[in-house]
Amino acid sequence: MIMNQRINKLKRHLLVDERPLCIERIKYFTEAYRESEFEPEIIRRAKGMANFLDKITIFIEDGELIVGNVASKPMGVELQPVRGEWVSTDKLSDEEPFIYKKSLEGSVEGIGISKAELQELQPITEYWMRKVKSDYAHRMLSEKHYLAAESSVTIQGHGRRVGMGQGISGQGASTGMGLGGVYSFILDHEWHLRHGLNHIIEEAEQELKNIDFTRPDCAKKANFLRAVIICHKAAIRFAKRFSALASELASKEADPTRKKELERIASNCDWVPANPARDFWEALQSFWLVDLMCHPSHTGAPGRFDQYMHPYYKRDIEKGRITREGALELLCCLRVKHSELREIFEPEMWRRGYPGAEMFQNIVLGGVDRDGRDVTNELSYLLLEAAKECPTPHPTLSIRVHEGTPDDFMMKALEVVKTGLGMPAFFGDKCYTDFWLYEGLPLEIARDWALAGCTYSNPPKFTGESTGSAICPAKVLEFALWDGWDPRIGKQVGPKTGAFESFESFDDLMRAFKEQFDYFMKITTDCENISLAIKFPLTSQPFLTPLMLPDSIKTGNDLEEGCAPVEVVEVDTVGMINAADSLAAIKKLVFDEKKITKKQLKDALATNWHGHEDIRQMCLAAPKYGNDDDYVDLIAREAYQLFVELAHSIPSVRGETQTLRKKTYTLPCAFSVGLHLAEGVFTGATPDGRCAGEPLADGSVSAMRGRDTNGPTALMKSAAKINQLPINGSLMNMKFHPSALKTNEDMKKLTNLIKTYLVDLEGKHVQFNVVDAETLRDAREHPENHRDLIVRVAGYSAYFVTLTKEIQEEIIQRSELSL
Amino acid sequence: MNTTSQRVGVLFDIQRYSIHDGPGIRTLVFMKGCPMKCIWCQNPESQRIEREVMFYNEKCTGCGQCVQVCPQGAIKIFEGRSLTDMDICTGHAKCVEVCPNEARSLVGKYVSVDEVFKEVMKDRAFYKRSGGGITISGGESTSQPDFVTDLLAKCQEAAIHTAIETCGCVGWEILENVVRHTDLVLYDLKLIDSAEHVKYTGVSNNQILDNARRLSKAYAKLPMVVRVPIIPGYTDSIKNIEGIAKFVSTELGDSARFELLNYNPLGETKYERLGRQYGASDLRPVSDESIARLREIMTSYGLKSQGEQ
Repeated sequence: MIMNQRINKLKRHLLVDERPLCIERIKYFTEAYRESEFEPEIIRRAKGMANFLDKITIFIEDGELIVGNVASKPMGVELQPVRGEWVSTDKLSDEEPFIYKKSLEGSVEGIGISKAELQELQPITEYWMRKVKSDYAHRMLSEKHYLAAESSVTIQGHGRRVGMGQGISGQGASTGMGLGGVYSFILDHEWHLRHGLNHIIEEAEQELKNIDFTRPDCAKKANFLRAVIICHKAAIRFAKRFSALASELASKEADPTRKKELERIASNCDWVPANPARDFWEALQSFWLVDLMCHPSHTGAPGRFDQYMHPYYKRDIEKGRITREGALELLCCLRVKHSELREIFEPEMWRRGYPGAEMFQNIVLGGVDRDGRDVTNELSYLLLEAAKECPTPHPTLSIRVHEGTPDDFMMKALEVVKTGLGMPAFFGDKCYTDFWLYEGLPLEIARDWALAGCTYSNPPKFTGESTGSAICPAKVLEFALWDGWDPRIGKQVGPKTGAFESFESFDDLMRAFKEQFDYFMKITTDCENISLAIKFPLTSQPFLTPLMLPDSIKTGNDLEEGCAPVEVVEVDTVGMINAADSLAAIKKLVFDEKKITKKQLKDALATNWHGHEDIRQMCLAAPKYGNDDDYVDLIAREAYQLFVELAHSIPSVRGETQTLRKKTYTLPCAFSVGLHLAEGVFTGATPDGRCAGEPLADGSVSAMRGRDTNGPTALMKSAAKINQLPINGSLMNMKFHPSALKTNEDMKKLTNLIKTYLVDLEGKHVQFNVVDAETLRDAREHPENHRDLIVRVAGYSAYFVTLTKEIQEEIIQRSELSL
Repeated sequence: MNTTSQRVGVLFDIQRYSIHDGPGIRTLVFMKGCPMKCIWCQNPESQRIEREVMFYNEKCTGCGQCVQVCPQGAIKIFEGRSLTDMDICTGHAKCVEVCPNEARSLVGKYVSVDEVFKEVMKDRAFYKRSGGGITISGGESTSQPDFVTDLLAKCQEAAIHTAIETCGCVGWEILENVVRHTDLVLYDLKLIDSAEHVKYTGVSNNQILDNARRLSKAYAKLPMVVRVPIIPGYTDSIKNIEGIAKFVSTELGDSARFELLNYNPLGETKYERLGRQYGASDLRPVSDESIARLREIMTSYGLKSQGEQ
């Protein structure tokens, strides 16, 4: 009972209309950075971090059991000094206090900043404007790259700077204020919980004393070690500031229960993360502080949290130091902390590309150990329960499903799904393991995979950051139809692959599609490779590196040098299903049945179907992916296969440096995040019957909204025809009407559905929104009544009312399956 | 192995991921044709065995293309919309082909046993894991007995679990032929009173009750679920439910299970689209509490609900 009060109170404070934009972090970072002008880059970064950790305003909220904030105000959005392009100053004009609200029509959540802070921010922004990493990258790129970005067929991080893409930034670490963050990493939490940060400092100091000055890299190593020591000492001081604050609050606290809690918080933060955690509460506190200090750096996922936290939980339970309820309460408190977290760079693109401002805090539950045995434990169940007790959009929960996943665990998971929270998501344990085996990893490491993004995986601790540019095959097809011309911007962007009218067969079209695809894949990877190549030392990571790679103290290599055992450069894809549906419609109507001519089709597309409704109807009636129809499914398979082959044909800058992964090529991925909306804006009418500007299909193996009419098994069968194995991550959204999940029997059948797809058909991922369309429509019209309604967006959940109108509509339209 | 059958049947739908008509995940095959005409019927398009045209009034623009192609001259344009004389219509469906607005759709498709089997096999992986299979419903599953027997036999041969839903209004020999290839029978009982049965379904229940008895004796090992549709004002009286409970408990042996199906109002607009009158309009599903109360009556007779061990 008391717990519910506490959690409800903490949860309520997440529902704010305006999130304050905080500038302390960037202010103090910049202050130190300016003062260290002639020092090595890595030292400047370390000092910048130390300075804000020492000076940023901290607070402890009433009722909190896990403490630590990275924004200087409650529910604040901290402007990011280590990642992200910031908007130019002219954009921060008069619209105070809801400066971004206007551009985010439909969303209730604004971001506010005061005039005084705005003035303070101005010189800081100007200072960084010329130092943005993408500027460096920009100078090395050429016209063809800018053109591709302007047309938005590729989506990468240099967009805004060259006036392209109107605000669709890259997904990756390719941005940065001359600094850049790290994208998609999973720390070795197990290691730091066991050893503590002092251990790192001691080792670094020892190594520094023994440095071998005969080595050519001695200076680099010495600077790295010095930077590590600066950061980690600052991190410990940061924790001790919370300890002191808690003590102070305790001394003033009248309520004896809260007083005791505060005293415990003080002792926790005094001990961790400097030292090894001694119990469950300390372990959670240590996890949170370390995680926080890596943030906001996109995206540090907790990984296999139920595994490395379990020993602490188990010992406390055995020794009677904690009750199950007590542990549940702590986990709920941690959920609230995760949901407070928010970063921002370019606000508008952030909100459109990643609706709901997700931080990709993905906790993986269950799965197998290195020997292939099921590892679901009490804590796995408890984490599900915490999501039910404390339904916040973050962190995301994901279940690794394999043959031995206990049925009652699946049922418990579905009980959480049933609340409409959109989580947990379900992942094919074996298909991911097979993927990493295919990449050349040893079996026991492949089996340890976790999710570093929404459906993007990597083996924790071994993997350096990845980047993330995306390519849009629906747009690629447009180039194949228009001989490389972009009708939207009126420019020749792609290579000349022949006029569609001159194609004699479907194969001719496929050849043009392939050539265009090849061309744009190379452009996309160019941008990724260059942004990785220039990262070190600009974006060196002295705090993160030893937490990822404990032996970096010995090697002196920074993570940003690309020295992890597994290094990847990835390309994501969005809108593949629209390309497949379109190709199928063309094959059927133009080539097989000759019902319409090529010219008729092009005219209809060029006019966005205006005056060609009959042709649009024929296109809509053509076979659609998601219905277990080989005619189109095999085209989808072929298109994905092409994507994989092209990625595999392109080497990456980090191919050679890794030691564990045996492949050097670019990694194909398919998760799309919220990019199907953003990319839809730039893609003209497509031959699948879609109108220009409309969102593309969500996910990567979901059907286009409303086009799958044969139910979930048919969609899964379609998806299973795509060879998902060599692709890192796939994404399938399903919406179920609550009536399909009423009884235990229904849920058992849904468990079977999920297991058939993930275990027998070797699918990679499926997730569910369980909410009826009427509720969503009502929430769109009356957001005030649905502040706490949570929906699944892409690989993560968000408060529905904080989404833009476009994505709200898109979610409403996704097929709803009921019985 | 692999008997092929080109025998053709008339289906009006195939529905995958069906989870409420037998164990596991199932594919539901709806046969056209039914000997009964329940006034609350929610699948009126299933009653006739012939193919028929459904008309979506709201989509019609009155363009008249259908009028020109109809071989029977059954269509006229009236007040800007096309009107079909259903008594003359023979379901040639030329009008469906030419309609540019999808205002006309054809209910009923001629399909061979092999074709349906192929469709059913698509979800084999799901059946295997969930213990599911095929359920043949309708209409009335036994209305096309040769087709259904072939299909069930073929499924059994492929180790697919088979179920039929039947109203029992069929000759014993025909029913027996079908159930020989069936692993589960979903047996509908609507009204226990014979006069009421005639009044609301158009037929007497003598044959239905008799077939149920014979099934439970001759096929004692064949699992049977007695399904009672709860139609407010028609079948939901305590007297009726008690009567059915008494019949099942005393005459159908211990293995029979029961299931109460709440009224589903989704079919009302279909009548209009078929140019027919709905005899039981304005019905709403009964409350969960009422269902629970009726279920208690059934269990008070020692009956177990479907799914219970």
